[in-house]
Amino acid sequence: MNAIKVKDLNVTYRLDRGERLYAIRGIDLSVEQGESVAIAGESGCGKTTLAHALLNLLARNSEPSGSVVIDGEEVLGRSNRELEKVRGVKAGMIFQDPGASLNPLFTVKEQVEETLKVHLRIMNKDELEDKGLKLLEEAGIADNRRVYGSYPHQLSGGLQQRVMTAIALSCGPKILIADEPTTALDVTVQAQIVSMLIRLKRERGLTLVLITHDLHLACMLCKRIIVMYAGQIVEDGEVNSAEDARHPYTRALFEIIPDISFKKEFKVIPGSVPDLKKVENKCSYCDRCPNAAQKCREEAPGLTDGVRCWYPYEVKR
Amino acid sequence: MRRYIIRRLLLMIPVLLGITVITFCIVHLTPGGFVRVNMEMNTKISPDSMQKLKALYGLDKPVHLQYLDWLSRFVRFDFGHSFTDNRPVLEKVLERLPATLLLNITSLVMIFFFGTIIGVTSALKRNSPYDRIMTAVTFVGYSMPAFWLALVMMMAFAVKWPVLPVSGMTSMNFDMMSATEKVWDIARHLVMPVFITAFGGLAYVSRYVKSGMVEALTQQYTTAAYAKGLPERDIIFRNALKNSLLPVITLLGLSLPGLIGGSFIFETIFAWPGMGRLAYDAAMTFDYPVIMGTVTMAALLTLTGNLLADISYALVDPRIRYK
Repeated sequence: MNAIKVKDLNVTYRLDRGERLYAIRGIDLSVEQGESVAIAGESGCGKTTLAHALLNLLARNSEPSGSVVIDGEEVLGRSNRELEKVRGVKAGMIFQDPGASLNPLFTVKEQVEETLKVHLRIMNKDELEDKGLKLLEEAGIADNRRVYGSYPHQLSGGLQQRVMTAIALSCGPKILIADEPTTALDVTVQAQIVSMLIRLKRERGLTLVLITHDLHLACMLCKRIIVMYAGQIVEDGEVNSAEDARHPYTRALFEIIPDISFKKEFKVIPGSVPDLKKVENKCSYCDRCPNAAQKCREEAPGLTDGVRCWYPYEVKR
Repeated sequence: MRRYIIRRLLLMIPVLLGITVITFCIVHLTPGGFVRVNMEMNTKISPDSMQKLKALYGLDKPVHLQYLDWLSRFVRFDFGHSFTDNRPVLEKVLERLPATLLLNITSLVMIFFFGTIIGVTSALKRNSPYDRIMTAVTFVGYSMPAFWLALVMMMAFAVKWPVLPVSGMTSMNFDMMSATEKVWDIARHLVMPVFITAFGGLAYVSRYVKSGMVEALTQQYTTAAYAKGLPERDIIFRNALKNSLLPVITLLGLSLPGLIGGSFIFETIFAWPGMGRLAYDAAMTFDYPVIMGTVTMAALLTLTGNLLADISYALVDPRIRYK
């Protein structure tokens, strides 16, 4: 059975003055149990909306349609009450800014234990504390006793993200959705969090959905890379370098990774993500694409064979 | 924390002294003065006996010496005697205090209770008809002249449909009532004054709670709480509400001095025997000891209220720890 199955997902946001923003346009996606998938793309291409749609955490002004099935359980159109069985139990989630995802007025202990009480129905004080301390230890926190009694602001960013991960996995979900988990952290801490995620993935046999703009990080954690552009999947496959990429956008994303030796010229993708308030029948990348031809401006390509492009690069697989 | 509290308490002393100096100067520099206002119009009093009178009250000395006299009595908690009826100031104040406290505490409880409920529910249903109606109602309450509303209500509920007493705190036959009847009698007298004072204050608290709640609900920790699969009830009333009540603590601290100060307008309209009228009467008759007594007590309470608000801030929000 698929751990995650998304079918024809569309998400639009209602804006002021009756405007609409088409954030997600027709996404189909299935993720196998135990598989790791990275969803990559620039800011504003719908990655975070997709991540939030997976657990139906969308904002109030959003209108989702289609279907999202998490471990056999439909998520869209369900009430918060019905979703209590899915969120935290079947799938956990960690966020971009760990400092902002922990409630500043409650201790780590309180925030870990409230989830345990709700889902695992553990009520005994000592049992709760033992379980909580063990969870922090599993998330790689050495002085778990000090951290357990602390308030979030007393912890470093790395520790906060470890605590968030411990809470997200506290009730044994098989799926972890990580929305830019290392973006707000500095580089050395990023590496530690990544190795923690790799270890937890292996130990628990997790299905990992990693949302990131950092292709380097994506390749470290996942074989399968899904590249999103303007609310659509433009490439889906095992891509590890610019040479593997079939879509010009994916190739461009790999080429802009700066080289540490500074031998390579520092590259950017010209232009910016298109305005998602209007949808035209053309390839949404054609304005920035070096290979754009007449056909690209007249008709939108479909996703065929894992790539959404009229003239994909030939790649030996 | 303890050192912080001690330092704050010590800092209150110069502030309080400053307040008393300024009040003392203003009161004594006001044209008129106790002796002139109360005696000069009386042709039977000779200039000689006027002078004696001034000496009797200690008003013949220079102002700064008078202040030092007052201060030396004040540090011994002696507020002196009223000029008008020669009763101890403390006794006069304590006699009026219960009525003021009863009215103001009741209305403060109402304001914070209903303000919080309206704020939370409006935040949950923001931009709905309910939210808009509540905004309109609280703003009408805030901007309506309270004395006018008081008179309209008295006309409606005490004269046209006499369901409530017009004014005062007790009925004529109060002394002959049983204990339960007494409680019921005071409660009936409280309805209108409490309603009017609370109606005006509702807008403040409900706006603060609403904006705090809306902010808390849009924070990432709220999304994270949903992602953990917590019941919505816990998310709203535990996680979000605590964050949204932080600004309310400041409001509560600022409302404390109003508890004792009383309101002259309401107390006059409703013939409520409270502090506001005591202070007003004292000002009109230049009863210096009573003026100083009420002002000093109100100042003390204001300062204590601010300190309490700061301390409870630190208790609720762990990010604030005073050094």
